[in-house]
Amino acid sequence: MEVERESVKLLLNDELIKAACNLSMKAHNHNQDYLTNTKKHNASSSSSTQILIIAFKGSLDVDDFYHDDHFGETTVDCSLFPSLRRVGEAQLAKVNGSILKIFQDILNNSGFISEVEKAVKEDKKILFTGHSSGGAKASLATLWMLDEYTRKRKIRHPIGCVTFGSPLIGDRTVSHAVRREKWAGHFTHFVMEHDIVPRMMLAPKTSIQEHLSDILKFFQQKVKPNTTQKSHKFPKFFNKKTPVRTIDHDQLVDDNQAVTFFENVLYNASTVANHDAFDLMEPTNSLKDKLSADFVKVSPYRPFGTYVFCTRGDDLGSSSPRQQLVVENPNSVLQLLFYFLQLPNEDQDLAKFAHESLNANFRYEEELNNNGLQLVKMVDLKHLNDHLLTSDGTTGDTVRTSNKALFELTASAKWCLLAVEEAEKRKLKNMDQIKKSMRKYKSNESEYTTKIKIIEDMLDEMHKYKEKARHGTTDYYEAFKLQDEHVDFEANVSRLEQAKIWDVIVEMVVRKDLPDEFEVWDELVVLATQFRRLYEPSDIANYYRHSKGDDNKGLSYLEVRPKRYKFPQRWYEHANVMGFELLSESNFVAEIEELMIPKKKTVEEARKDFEDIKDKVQMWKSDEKIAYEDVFWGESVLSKLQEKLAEA
Amino acid sequence: MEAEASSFETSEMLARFLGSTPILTESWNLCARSNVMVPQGFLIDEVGGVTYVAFSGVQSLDGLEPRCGNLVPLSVASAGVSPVYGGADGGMFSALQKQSDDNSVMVDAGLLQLFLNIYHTPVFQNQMFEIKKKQKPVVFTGHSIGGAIATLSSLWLLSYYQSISSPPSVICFTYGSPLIGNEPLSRAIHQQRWGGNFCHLVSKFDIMPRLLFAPLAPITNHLNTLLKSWQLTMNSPFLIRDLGNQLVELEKSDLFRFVLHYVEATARSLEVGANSFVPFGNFMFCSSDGAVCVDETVAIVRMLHLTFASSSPSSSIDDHLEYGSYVEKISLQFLNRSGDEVCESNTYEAGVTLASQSVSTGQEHMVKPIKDCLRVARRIGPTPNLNSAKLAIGLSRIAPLRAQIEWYKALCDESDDQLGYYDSFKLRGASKRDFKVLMNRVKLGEFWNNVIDMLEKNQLPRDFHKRAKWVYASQSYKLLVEPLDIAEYYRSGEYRKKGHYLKHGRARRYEIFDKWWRERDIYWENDNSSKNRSKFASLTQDSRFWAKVEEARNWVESVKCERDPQELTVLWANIEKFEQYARGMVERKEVSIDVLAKNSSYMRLLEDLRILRLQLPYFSPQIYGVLDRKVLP
Repeated sequence: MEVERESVKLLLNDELIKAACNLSMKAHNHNQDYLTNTKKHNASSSSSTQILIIAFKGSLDVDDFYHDDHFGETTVDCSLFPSLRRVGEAQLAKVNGSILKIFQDILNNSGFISEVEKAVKEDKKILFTGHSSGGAKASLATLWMLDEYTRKRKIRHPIGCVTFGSPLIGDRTVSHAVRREKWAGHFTHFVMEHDIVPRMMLAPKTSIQEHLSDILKFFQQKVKPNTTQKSHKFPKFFNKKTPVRTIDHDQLVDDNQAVTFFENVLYNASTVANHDAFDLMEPTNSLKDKLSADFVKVSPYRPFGTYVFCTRGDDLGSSSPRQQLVVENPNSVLQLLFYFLQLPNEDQDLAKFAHESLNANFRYEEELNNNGLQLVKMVDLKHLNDHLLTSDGTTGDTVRTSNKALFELTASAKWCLLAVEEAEKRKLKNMDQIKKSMRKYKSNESEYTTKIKIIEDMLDEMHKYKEKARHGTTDYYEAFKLQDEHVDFEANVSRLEQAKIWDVIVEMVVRKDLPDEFEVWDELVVLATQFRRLYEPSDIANYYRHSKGDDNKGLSYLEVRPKRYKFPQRWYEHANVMGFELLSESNFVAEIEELMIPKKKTVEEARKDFEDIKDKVQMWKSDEKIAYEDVFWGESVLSKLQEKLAEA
Repeated sequence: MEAEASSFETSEMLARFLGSTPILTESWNLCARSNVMVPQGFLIDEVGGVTYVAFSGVQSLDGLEPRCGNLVPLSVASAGVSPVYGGADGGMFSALQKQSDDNSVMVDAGLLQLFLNIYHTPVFQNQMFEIKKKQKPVVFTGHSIGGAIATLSSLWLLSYYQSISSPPSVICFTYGSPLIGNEPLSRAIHQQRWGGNFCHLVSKFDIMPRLLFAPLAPITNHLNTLLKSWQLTMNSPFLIRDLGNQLVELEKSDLFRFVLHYVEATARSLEVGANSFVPFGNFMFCSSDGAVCVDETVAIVRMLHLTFASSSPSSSIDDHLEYGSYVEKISLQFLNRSGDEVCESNTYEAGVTLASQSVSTGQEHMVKPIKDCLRVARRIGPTPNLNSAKLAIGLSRIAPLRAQIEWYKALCDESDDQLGYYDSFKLRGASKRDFKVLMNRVKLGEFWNNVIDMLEKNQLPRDFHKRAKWVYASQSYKLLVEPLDIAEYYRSGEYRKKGHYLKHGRARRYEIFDKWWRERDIYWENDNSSKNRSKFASLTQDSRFWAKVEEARNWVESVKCERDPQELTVLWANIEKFEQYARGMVERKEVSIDVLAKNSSYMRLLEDLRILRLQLPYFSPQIYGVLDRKVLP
């Protein structure tokens, strides 16, 4: 639960968690979308700042979870959540459509924004919270605020989010984006070991709809005991001195319903968990790929943020909390969401277990009162990974006995957790390889100078080529296009060499073989930007020299622009919180080349476009973030086009 | 670089994943229904957008199809089949036979006959027509002999879909199916990368999947009795054991020992004869404790032996009817925590242990051999992704070689002798520059052969051949270098020894790159109105162009001295066909300018033809065609 970007993270304490939980449960019984409460934050420092707790109310209709028959996901609104995407691919994340809709309504209709705005002005820290689907809304609110305030407006305002038994709401792109932006520490999701709700969205609606509405009704009764009683308005004479009728909740859902629902959720959870675990193991077998393309529909939802699994005593529902397991890696969380819900053994009464998993969603307050959910009792999974499959010999025993819940899982569960860890290591190793090909690092100079050309050195060479040509009669773009001299040939070879290296990097990004934060790594963004500015004109020159547009059925360069330039441009734009543009300082030459091709546009259109480009070039020239000498400013082509337009 | 081996043994994980999908239960249920309801037929059902086609395991109640156990070339399937039924060119299984005269790919004659019996029914044709029209994913499935029919149906449909871009998926799940073909079949399937489309469930003790390792002639009588009794049981609604004519214990024991002997011999020997049966695809070995899914042939054969050796005569027979309960167990695995503690520090060994637990079912003595067997399948060497990354670096290292050839081409195209790229290289002297190009050509060829080799050895990521970078790199390599290969082939006179390039000299890599190119995902696919080129292409878009020119030259030469009128007609027809093709290429500007260089082979060929036509006006093909028919009634 650490965040690297100092200060923006809201530090939790036990009191705060308790307050959040109480308010979250209370929120269910009110008509407003959310409840607020202000608390003093007695942080260790003397300055006692205030915290605004905003607890979202849960909504428990079938339509509040699924807006279609499958998983109910929808593409995220990119104006509200500009960061929830894969940067290079410009692929938007998906989130639960129903919850997103509700959240958008809250943003638009209630005084929510002004409330937040006020808190920021008053320098109050903000903690979003919620129980069940209220937690899902709290997560969205937090994501929205992180984008809007922390990233866009650059306000370093402490924000936190605590949820209790929240369903999953985002796909793996959300999960990726949260890790990339280093936001994971802002989210603390408490999940009871057997709580069914956090697993529910792993099942498609079709598989559980039979009993879903009954079960949600049962949840409703649970959270609103008062309203239930009120709804049973008997005539007064009926209502004798007999004690108020309390509804036996378990009767609302019979054994068969509970078991069917539980089995289906668990079954689908196992599909997702096995699916992902298999992929993490770098298999060579292609059967799974062929299946998951068309035959098996796997839930899109994946966890994000930090999870705290609250495990309990040996007997179901028994008193003492045993362990709070803190898990940060979303893949590990997914595995544990499945494996913790498995029946402990074959003798376990299925119906009882299923009922318990429904009731577990309402045990958070109780858990707090029993001194559970406390920060001091938490153990981080990453400290236990080494012990997962070692024998009971020397070190194992104490670790094992104090972390029983984890070690009582099946061998395959632990094995899958190890697969997650291995995959993480692999990604770091890949990143290391790339690092080595980018710059000469002093320690291993000897090893790499002989073998691979370093990107940085090649950039220098291109720089020299560009400078040299500029002193001649033609600029480097024209020279490159003509390919008259041997130096031009060498520059072309350099272009090809660079292209392959960057193609590999981009491909690794696409294949998710690199750590999530790779695309926002500043060293990469700087180097990639320099590469893009220096080399893209040579690619454009090559494209129009060979009139490759003809091979590509008349497509312009911009329509087939290689990923090795698209991605770096988006990395740059993302780093500078800009929108994604088509035209940039490195590729406008292509647009000019297009305008030179006769018959594509009328003269008037061409003139207008020409003026637009000239304006843009002026703008880029005055942009101090753009290194002047890296960019090819297109003097020669611009004047050529001007002549041509003048003739026309 | 360190030699990294895979750090996870995934056979058990894969089986667990399969168990957690609906496919196993859905397909089994339909199999069981088809056994009862449609003897000698098949059932179709649609669940969740997926079409399931189950072939009944009850096929010939008289006993064994008499031709079973004998391999015949797969091409016999299309013999006498009208093109309406099969693919027009190359027959029903064209993708598996590289040349139409290649008869090494063989399948079991009896099973093929059973498949053809169903295939030629109008019901099947109609249903398949519907499936092809709907473009929905299909699962072919079948129990026992039905599994073999499902396998052949899948191979047929996969072959059919080959000519279609982005075809729907086809998957095959069989339950206790006999083996169907030989090693060349298995290899052909592997090369098509279809192995992953097949999953054969095999229960630990079932004799059926092992049966065809043994010659059937000595045991025909036993088999007939056995098959009859199996099929009667499968055909009864509640799997009531048929109590009619059954094998006695002694006979069961004879049969078991006989088959076991051959299974053992196969597992021991490393050589595979051309006339023996070989498994392909995935084999999922089921026990009451779980399952493992293996796709490596050696490991499969050894597992088939190991598990069968622990069987007994009667369980080897009863187990053939137990798939229902295995499927149920595997798909309920998710519910409980089960399995023993695993104490392995190494993640790979942990996987091996988990897998061995799933199949050994308390038979302690089997644990070690099974573990050894699974380790056979372990991938040694760097991971596929690492390999692919290294290849990419290799590709950037050969980029200068390619650039040099490109440069060379530009020089040739501009040179005063006006020979063009192709002919310059073909008629080259002994200059240093020409030699360098020759060397680059060889080096590039080695690089790409190595890529293909690695791909076929499964050392590269599974989707490698679909990655845009490699598809485009291989395509541009092919367009640039294949003309040189053709030139070299005709220059060295090799065609006189072997025959023409296209049929006898073309390197396999180009065929493969053609396939990659065909199967690529094209984002401008919808845009059929291909715009006209304004200039000639930088590289001729059909890399076989020059080979066709050479063949045409050959025909023209033959025309000059051919006297047989029938032969002449054929020759002229060929020449006209070529002219039409070449004219089209030139008109669409799909050729590079070297084709039109004044002294290129193509231009000289046109000139030759023009003169030939002037000299022999009466040889004009139309006239000749008419004459021909009149002369020979």
